[in-house]
Amino acid sequence: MNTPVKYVGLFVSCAWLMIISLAFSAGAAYSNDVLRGNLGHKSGGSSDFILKDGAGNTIQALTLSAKVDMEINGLVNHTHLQQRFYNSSHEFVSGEYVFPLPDTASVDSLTIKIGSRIIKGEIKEKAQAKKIFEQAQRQGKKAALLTQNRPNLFRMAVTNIPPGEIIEISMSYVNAVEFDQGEYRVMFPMTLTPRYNSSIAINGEPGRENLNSENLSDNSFQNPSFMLNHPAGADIKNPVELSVHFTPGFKASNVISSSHDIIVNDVDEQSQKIAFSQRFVPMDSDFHLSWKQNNKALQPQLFVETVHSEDVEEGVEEGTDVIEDEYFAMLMLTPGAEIYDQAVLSKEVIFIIDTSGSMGGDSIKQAKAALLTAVELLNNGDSFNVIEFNSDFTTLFDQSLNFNSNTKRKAKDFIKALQANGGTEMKPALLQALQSPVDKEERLKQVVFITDGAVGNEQDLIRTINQYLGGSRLFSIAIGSAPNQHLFRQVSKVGKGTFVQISEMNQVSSKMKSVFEKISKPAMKNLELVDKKGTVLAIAPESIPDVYFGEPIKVMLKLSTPDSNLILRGTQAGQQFEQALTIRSTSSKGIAKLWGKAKIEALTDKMTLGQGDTVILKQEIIELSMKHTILTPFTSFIAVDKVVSRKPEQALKLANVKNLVPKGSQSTKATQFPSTSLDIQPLYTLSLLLMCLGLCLGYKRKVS
Amino acid sequence: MNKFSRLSLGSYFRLVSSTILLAVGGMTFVYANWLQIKAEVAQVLIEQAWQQTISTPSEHHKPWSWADFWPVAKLQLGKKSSVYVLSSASGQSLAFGPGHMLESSSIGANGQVMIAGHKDSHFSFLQSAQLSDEITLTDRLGKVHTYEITTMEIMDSSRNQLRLADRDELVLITCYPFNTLEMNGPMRLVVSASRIEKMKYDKS
Repeated sequence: MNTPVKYVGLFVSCAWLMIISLAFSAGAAYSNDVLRGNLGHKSGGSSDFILKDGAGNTIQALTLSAKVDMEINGLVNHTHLQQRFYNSSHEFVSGEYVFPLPDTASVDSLTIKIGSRIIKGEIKEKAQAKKIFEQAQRQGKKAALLTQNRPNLFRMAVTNIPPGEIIEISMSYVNAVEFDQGEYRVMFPMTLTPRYNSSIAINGEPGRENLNSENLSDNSFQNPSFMLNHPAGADIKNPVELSVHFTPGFKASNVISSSHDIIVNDVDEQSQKIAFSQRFVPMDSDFHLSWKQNNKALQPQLFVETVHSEDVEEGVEEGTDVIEDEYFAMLMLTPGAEIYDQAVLSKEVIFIIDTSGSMGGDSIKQAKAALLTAVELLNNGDSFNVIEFNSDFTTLFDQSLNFNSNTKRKAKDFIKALQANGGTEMKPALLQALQSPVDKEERLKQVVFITDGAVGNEQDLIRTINQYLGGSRLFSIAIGSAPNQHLFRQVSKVGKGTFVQISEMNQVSSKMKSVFEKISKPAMKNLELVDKKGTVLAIAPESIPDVYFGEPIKVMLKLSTPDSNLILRGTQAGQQFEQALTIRSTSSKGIAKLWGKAKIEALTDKMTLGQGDTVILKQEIIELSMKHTILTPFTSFIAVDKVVSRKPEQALKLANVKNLVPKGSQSTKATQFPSTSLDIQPLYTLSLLLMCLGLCLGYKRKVS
Repeated sequence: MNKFSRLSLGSYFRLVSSTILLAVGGMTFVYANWLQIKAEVAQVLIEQAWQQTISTPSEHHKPWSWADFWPVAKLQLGKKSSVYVLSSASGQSLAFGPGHMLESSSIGANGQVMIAGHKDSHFSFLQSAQLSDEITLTDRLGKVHTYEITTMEIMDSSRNQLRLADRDELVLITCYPFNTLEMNGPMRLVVSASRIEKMKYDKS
């Protein structure tokens, strides 16, 4: 026994020494060889004009202040936004400001105010507008160009602002008031979340959302950059003032803002005036306003706007002597509890959980908690399965199994063991869920998709859902503080479901319950509107989507007559139902714009889904944009001054207006240090210690 | 029977624990090597992905299909060490290269760009970094941004957070000290470098 142990010991120590020496020489070589690379060509740096103070802090050459005037009339919100750009430098400046607006906004005007002169902007095709702008820039004329880069992201380019002067630019948009669970809401976004920034397409990080290939090639678009607001006492950066003329059309109660301190003053019986309690606030948090209606009866409502054809700007006029009025309507369905007293449906639920690397940290914890809560919310009679995916996918069961204590326990063990790791290959997992065999008991298949939305190819995702959805429905749980809202909205539309956002652990339970309420109650389906002759009406989005419990829905439509006797028809839990609609007499100006916007959105969706000829669809969108004067991704507003401000010999510098980092986002003002050590040395030392100890023990055997 | 009696319980225990210690020690050693080999070998694939990124910057190119990150920039200290910067600073991607911290400005933008890396692999060259050394950052469009080291600070991450400032600078973060036996130590080296390149303003 003695000799072998000794030899083993000697052998190991020799091997150990060899390995150590090899490792260290490799380590030394490592930093020299492996990390060597080539330096690329040098070129001009950034094109941003920045002034610096003594401490190295940047001073903006171009600063912004804004004024927001909202006019809320019934369910339509007209917002007038004024942006004042001040050039604090001694040079002529051309600047850009990337800013958010609600993704439901139909932007319909742009004007520049110079002293007492007002220059009205026109809507043009994107490329043409850009040409006009660039020409004006060269000629030294003041000009403004407003483009839509994403549904909720816009860019204002202003040029030839003389030193020390202010340019005042106004724009307006229309959107519908949001309505949910007895509460009405409007919001005005003030800044972007930086994380969102990192995913903005074009020449920065790869886009999460490459809706329009045009955007991708538009290299002039710069990623928005950010600055921090100074602490209390210092000047407010990006100040904004706000006033709301509020005419809800009924006696509103609980008029509150969850985001800002506001003052509400009565103007007359019907309307109120709302403003910030301080005149100016920094543009670092979105403005939210909500109110409630005392009247509990929530009947479907229909709002109608009559447009005389001469009112339609730049309308098709040639050859039409007959002036025909057009009627645009907004239908609002707010299914209350009384429609939903049917028994709870049995269902097959397939959960898909994203366990890719991007879900690491809090996201996966929230996702797992959401999934565990969801499993608890299943009923006997339901069947279910869980699919996790990252680079690959794994299913809990081969096929969906009935929910019982045994399957529940198995599911919980499976979920608890999940870890975020690897890539994001969602398509195979989605296909597995959508193509799984049809349930024997013909339970409706509901797919619940839990993800942060950081998926590789969004269009592919949308197309896959559209192609394989069949009779199933897809609900998404958006995880994280800044998920890609637009993606989830699209997924819900195509997947005939809804989505909720979970950004904090304490929301998990209540949000999952609300999803399950929607899943478990029968939806109103096959909805259509008929007039008194029984003719089915054409609607701007191709059809009325299914309506879920507690989920309000807005439908835009064009009526052939202003006739108010309309009937809503559909099925619920297999039974036919009919309901007469009441027409609201509230002023409904702006409905035509909302209709135009809905129509444009429907066309954009078709484009995303690859249905129809892209060129034709694009042309249709441009025509609608011109006809209704609504900004789209393919058109821009352009306004050019006639007067030349800058002489050719005077220089023009570029300066961008920064957005403020969102207020209170701890993670953005300061952030955690990442873990930055592999602990190689402690590991080597540990291994050395262990092996020495082992050897000592071995040698002692011989001595004794 | 004899053999067994000669081998007292104590010696038997010694033999077993000796073997176990050697085995665990050996495994730890292999693991430490594996971490380094992984970090090194991946560079070949990341380099390929970077070449693709430079030629078609509108898309991201993952170094391998199941990766959850991709190269976004190339970082070089002085004339010597260059590394590829990955799109995220999660623990997973840091194993393969320094990562861009998403909380900071995007690479190539005017603003504070933060990059974190492992002290004992890709960022080990920061050991030799000195004030006023030049750092260059090549973005995906091939544009080179030049910075000069202005401050080097040691911070305790258990007491401080990383402050984001409104400055046009590059911040490199790694663990400190470089040679220590402590695991998961709280100290960090924070190297700040401000942009030195003269900017061109005019756009014809």
